[in-house]
Amino acid sequence: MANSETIAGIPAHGAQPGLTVSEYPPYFAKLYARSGGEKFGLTFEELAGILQEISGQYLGPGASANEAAELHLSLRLEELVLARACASGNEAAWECFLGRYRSKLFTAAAAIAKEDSAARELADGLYGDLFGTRRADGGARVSKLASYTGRGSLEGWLRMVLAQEWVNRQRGRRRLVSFEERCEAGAQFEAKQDVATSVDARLEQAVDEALSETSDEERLLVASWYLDGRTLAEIARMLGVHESTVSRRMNKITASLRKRILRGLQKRGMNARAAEEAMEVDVRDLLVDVRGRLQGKRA
Amino acid sequence: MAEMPDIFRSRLAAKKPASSEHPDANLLAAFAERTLVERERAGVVAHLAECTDCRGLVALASGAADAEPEVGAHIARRRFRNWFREYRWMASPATACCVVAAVLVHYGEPPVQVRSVSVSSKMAEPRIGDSLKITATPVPLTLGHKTKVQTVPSNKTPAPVVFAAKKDVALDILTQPPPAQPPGETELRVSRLEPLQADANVSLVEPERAAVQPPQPPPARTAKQFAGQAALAGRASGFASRFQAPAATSLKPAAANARLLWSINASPDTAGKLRGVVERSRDAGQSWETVPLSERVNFRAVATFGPDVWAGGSAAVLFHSADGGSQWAEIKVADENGSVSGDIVKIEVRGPNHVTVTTSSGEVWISVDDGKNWVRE
Repeated sequence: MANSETIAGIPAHGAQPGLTVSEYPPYFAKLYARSGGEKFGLTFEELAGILQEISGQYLGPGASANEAAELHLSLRLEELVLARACASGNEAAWECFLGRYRSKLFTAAAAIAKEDSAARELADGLYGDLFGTRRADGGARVSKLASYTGRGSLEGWLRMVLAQEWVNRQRGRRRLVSFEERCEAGAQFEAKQDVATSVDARLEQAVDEALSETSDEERLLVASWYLDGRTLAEIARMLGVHESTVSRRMNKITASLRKRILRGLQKRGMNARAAEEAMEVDVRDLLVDVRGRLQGKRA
Repeated sequence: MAEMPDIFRSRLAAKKPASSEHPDANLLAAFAERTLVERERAGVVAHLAECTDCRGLVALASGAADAEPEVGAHIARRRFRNWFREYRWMASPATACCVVAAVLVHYGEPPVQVRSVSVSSKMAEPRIGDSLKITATPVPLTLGHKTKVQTVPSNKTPAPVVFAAKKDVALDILTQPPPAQPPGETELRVSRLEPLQADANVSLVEPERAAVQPPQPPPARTAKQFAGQAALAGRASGFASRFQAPAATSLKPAAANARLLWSINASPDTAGKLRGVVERSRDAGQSWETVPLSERVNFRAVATFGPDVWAGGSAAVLFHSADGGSQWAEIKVADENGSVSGDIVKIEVRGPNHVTVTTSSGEVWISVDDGKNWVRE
């Protein structure tokens, strides 16, 4: 880029010194042509440096040239170049970014924050971080866009960053709410109860065993459903599949889990009827302090 | 779905993440878009299975993706739209006539439902400065009023006309609107674009692209005003990029929209000394009024973008109005290292919230959030 300002934490020139164009992998030239970097003043060497920085970030030291090539070819090059050009202060890039993403940013913020003024504040706050209103110790501008690596679309990355910013703000607000405010808001503070754990240990063990036999994807589905309380539609959106697919898989997973838990209970000495009854017991009747156990586990 | 005992939830929640390192936004976004290689996807899935926070992020961002307006244009249509934009002037203006529903909202008044309007226009995404013609409005529109039309893609026009995204479009009434009946034509110009309210339910109209109007010269001034302008001409070397410093004695105004024009003029203060003042015209330059911002400031630059107006001058004083000059706020131009020095002699507004000021000492400062934060170039 004509402006060779160093982006804080990520040098604008990461290319190996002394290498000529012909000494880079041959597909680098094609990637440069495809990236449109020229219009933002990005040189071939600068793009090469960015690509090598990204492969260093996501691939282990022993990664092969093929793996690096696969990664580089999968990147969203045009968006990557635009983001890095914006981060280094290229005005043409910034105008292009504004034209394409400004309204999308607001739309996404509105969907996340649900309320207009909060959405504006969220989008404007992120906008400042993207532009780089802070400076690092060396005087270099600190722009969040410098951390975009082109693995997914820039739009998707912006949504994820917005979501993170929103969550951080919500957490910050919760911490600031005082005890008095919580009382005024009607929060009830229960006295600590004596914990009486009467859950059959065999049931716990059978559940643990069944969960350990599930795949990560199955656990992701059941955690989204049972812990997070997400709808099938929301889970489908998260995974990029159709809602009916999620529904079918959930039915299959829960049926399989139930069978495995029953089998586990019978393996531990329960007969079939007792095992079925154990599965039907409501934990509230057993005075189990579930919240306490969860907090105890997480602490 | 098979019922699970409550203990199932607690045992599920008891599992801790295998690794405390959370995938960054790049990986999570790529996961949501299904562009990760299998090895990486497996790693992200394994983490998401155990991490409530990251699951929440992906769900939140995916929900926001789903809220993106349905443009109604898949890739083929988007290509057609690009082609159409380039060659639209070859099409007959009468070819795309559609009936759409619009909600017209007067600022500060409760929304008014309009059942239908007739539009003689083509389809595209409205931009600030576009002229939009509507007819047969069953509600009264007032000349000079700011009116907002909320738009969504229309599904009533025949293919292959493409549709634009949902937008709030703030429009100025440019011509005297006709009575409700018989139908006549009202011209509206887009002066602001904002994200759409969640409950909007209207259709898009394609504005006819208005030719860029050169700023209108101000009317003849008095000798005193000429003298003041001549005195300022030497010093007012920096204006917003939209208009130039006066060659003779007239200062060309900044055209915010066809209704409001802005300018810097010379006016004597209480001590008889000439200083720059901000002036506004509501009638295309026929008459001007001074905007009483500050008696102590010698204003040297004014710039606008839609209803946003920025005015700056001596001692780096900067004022901003977001509503066409009804209300103003003084803006401090500074960062953590210090504040701006010199007079503000040039203001450039590149878009909503994005403004650059240049000072007499050569400093250039940029803000992208309506002046809340600044960075010095």
